[in-house]
Amino acid sequence: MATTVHNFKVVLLGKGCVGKTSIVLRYAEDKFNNDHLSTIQASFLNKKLNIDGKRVNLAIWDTAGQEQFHALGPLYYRSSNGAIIVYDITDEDSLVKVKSWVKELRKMLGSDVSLVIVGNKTDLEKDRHVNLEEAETYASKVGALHWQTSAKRNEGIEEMFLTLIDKMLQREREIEDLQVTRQGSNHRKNVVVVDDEQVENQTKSCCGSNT
Amino acid sequence: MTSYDEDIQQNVFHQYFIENHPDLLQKVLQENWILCVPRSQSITDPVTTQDIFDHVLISNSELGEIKTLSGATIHLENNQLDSVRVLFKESVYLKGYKYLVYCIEHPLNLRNSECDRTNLEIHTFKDCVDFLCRETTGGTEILTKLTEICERFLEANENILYYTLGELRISVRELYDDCVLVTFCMNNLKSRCLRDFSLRNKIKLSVESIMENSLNGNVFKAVCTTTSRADAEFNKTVRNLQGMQLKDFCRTSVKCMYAIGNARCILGKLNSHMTILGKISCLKNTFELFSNNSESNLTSEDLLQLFAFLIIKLNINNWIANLVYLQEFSVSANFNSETNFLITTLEAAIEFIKSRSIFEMSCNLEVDNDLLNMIRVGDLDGVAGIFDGRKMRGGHQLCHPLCACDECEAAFNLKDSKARNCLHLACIYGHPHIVEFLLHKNVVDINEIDYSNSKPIHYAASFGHQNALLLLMHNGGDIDSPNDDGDSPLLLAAENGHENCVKALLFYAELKNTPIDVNRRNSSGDTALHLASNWGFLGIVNTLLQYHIDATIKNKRNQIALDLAHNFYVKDILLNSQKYEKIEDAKIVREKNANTKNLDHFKKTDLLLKAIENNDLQLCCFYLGIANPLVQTTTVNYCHPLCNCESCTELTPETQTRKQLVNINSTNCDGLTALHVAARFGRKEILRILLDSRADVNMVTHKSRYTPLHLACHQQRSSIVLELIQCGSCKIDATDSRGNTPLHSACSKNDPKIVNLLITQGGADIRIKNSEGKTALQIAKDKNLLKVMETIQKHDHINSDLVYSFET
Ligand SMILES: Nc1nc2c(ncn2[C@@H]2O[C@H](COP(=O)(O)OP(=O)(O)O)[C@@H](O)[C@H]2O)c(=O)[nH]1
Ligand SMILES: [Mg+2]
Repeated sequence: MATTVHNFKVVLLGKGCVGKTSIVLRYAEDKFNNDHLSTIQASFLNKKLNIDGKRVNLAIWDTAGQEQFHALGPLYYRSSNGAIIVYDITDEDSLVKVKSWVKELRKMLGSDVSLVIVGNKTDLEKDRHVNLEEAETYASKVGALHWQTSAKRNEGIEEMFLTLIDKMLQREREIEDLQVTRQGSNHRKNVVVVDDEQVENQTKSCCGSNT
Repeated sequence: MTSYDEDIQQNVFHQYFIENHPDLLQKVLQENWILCVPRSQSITDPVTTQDIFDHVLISNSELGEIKTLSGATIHLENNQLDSVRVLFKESVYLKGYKYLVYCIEHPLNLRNSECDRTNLEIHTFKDCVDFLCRETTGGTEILTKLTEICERFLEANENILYYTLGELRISVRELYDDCVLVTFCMNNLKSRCLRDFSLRNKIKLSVESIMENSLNGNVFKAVCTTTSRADAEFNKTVRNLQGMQLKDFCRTSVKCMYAIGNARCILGKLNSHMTILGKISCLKNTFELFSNNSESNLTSEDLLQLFAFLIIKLNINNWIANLVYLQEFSVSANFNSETNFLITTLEAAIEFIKSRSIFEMSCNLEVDNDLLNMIRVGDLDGVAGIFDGRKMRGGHQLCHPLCACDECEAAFNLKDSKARNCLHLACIYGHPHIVEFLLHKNVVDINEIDYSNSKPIHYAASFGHQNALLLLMHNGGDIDSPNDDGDSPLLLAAENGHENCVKALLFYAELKNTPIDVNRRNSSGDTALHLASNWGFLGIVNTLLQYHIDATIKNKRNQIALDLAHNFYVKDILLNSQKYEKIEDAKIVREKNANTKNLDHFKKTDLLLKAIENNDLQLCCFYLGIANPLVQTTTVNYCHPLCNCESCTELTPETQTRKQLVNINSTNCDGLTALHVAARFGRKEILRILLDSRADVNMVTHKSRYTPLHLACHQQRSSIVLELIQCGSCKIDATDSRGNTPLHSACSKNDPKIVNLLITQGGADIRIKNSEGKTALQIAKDKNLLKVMETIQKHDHINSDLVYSFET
């Protein structure tokens, strides 16, 4: 019998130049690979993982960070299961931007989306302009994880993704439980035989949904 | 598009490795080696230890080479290990350790020819056909079946072009379910699909593609109809960005310069694909082309901008329809996430074009001169200052205000790099007060040409600045001269969707008796009608036809305007215009001195009907001479009943008394009345007003003899049905040319709600038989419409009792 695949869509957000693209590129890398991985890897990355027997399929979407593209954000982040909101530890303003993204995401996607706030460029510790404690307090206040990375030195990135996956799996279970208790026994009744799509969509989040 | 997937944990090769080589697993974990796992169906013989050794990869980063554990050197390039394709990579986490698995097409030690790799993934329409035939009976039986279902669907939905998006989505969804059902019945597919998700996904995608192909583009055409307005609006935006150069998208352009040409060819074929799969492969190929041709990684920003550029430059006139089709009609919904990313990028590019930000990019034309710059930003005081003899910043001072010496002349007769003078620029940027000032000062020649032989009036028309255009016309601007491309102001305004300018040009010419060649053709042989039809500018097409543009002119590719129209409404108008012509011819034969009153009447009626269709309550009331209940005051003007432009206020004396232009019961050439149209399109407010104004509810169309009630039932508009029934004088049992009553129609549409309304509220007679001798109930029975049957039978019971008691 086929094991279920957990399909997660993860989107990277944050001010321009904080290192979103660099983080994706780092994560896409594997040391065997010295040519182009797939076709559009810098903007989009598909990653399959198997975590202690659980199959996870990550679709990672990088977004355009410049101000002129800000309005297009919702097109990219809609129906995401997770969002990585990046700031640059040497740039105070980038944390301000993080806060406005968090607000927007919570408003548009509610609590179903798992958030991780990432302070990037830890290799530039000497130029730090963002207070770590302040960032961490803020993150826990809004129910987000906080993580520090350096895309340059490849530090913390894989761990950050793993924690996020963990959180998304947990969130998925909570949502399922909720649905089961809410719908109770009559859940099975309305299942149409022809196409098991509907059943599937309820139990599995689908990053591919168009709506 | 599907990508190959399997559960590595279930793969025999992988299981053998885990179970029999725990020590090697430790080593792999520690050393970051890679395990290659052949796809499960490619493994034929029992796995041996030697096989495992052949499939563990060790990288020597110093030498930059890869070896297997058994010592063979292997080459990794473009996702190929030597000649074996890597299907996917998976990171396996085990008790805190991690190793990487490459799932490969077939074992590394197997030669190509020995392995069957049919239909691993589905990429093209041909893949779909092959796959489905192979998985069902092996023959083409399934194709015949699916095609039949689709043909029946098209017959049953002959009005598909009138469907709303919602109706369309539901009916396509139902059709798709039918198709899947039929397919699942064959060769035990259903239970096999339950066991195998990836088989199921491939079946669904194949069924969908074959279905779309059999529908012959009809659904897509219907989508085009629903989005025609949005498309026309978007086309207008795009038309007006034609000045943009690749270099405006600075960073990216350098990267992909050489790919742009090819990308235009590939993406330009978007509309030749009828299946969603085909359209998506178009997108995908475009993206692949870009990424293969760029030296560094393409980011989301890059893709977005490259795409926006292509959209602006391609001759595709229904982007919105394509987007909606891709997003809402991929019923099998199993595109991989990469495909979703591609579609989102297309959507983002369209949104980006619609937004102001791209517009600002395009306005950043280089102007390095004080005066020209002031004109650009519309600084009248600054401009006036210069011409009134005050000092130019850091520049030349006029000898005296009216001086015309060479030096002074040169100072304000400046031109930019394309030889455009102040007036050209004021028209480009659309500052009427500056145009007026320049004309008043009489310092520039109103008909001066630049390097492309364009006069200021060309720019005013092309950029849609009606005020500037009017000023130029009133001051002797040349209204009908061609530029280097053969475009006159009229052609430019029509191509760029500026209805107000088209009207201004035509009205002015008519009013002043200035000759204007409506049928002028540009260097491609296109008339204004060709251009407006191509981009879906309905209003302009209408206006041009009113001015008797010749719709039979062919362009250099031998197309008439109708051939270029992609949008139902435009096609409809053009087709109707041909009808008028025929009527006109007939008239002329009959009575030599025929007045065109009747023709005129048809045209006016059509305008009324169009207004209803567009749900334009005000316009509708205007035509009918009814006081609009919602709006208290409307000024009646010349160029368009609702227009407020300068010329109109100038041209028309104020008329406050309402004049009826069209009789409320007048019909168009098909016999449609206003009420018919309001019923068909569900325009409830308008319908009420019509009923209140005593429109005849029982008029029938010429050919099919439909009443408004028939149409309301056809379109399943229950609230309209109710309105009509309640108006009192409606004949509930009117029969159409095939003997069907509204009740028959509602039954065949499977609408129990309306059936119930007709019977309970309207007292419809359920015993009436149509020309095939069928009652409504029999129709429902034939189609197995249980709900409807139930509804009728509920009342049949009572009725039949009555009948019997009456007869006995
Ligand atoms: N020192 C340092 N520089 C970084 C790091 N991550 C990214 N950068 C640099 O920051 C700049 C912007 O990075 P990019 O990934 O394009 O940012 P994006 O606009 O958020 O996608 C580039 O010059 C990167 O080389 C990091 O961890 N440390
Ligand atoms: Mg970036």
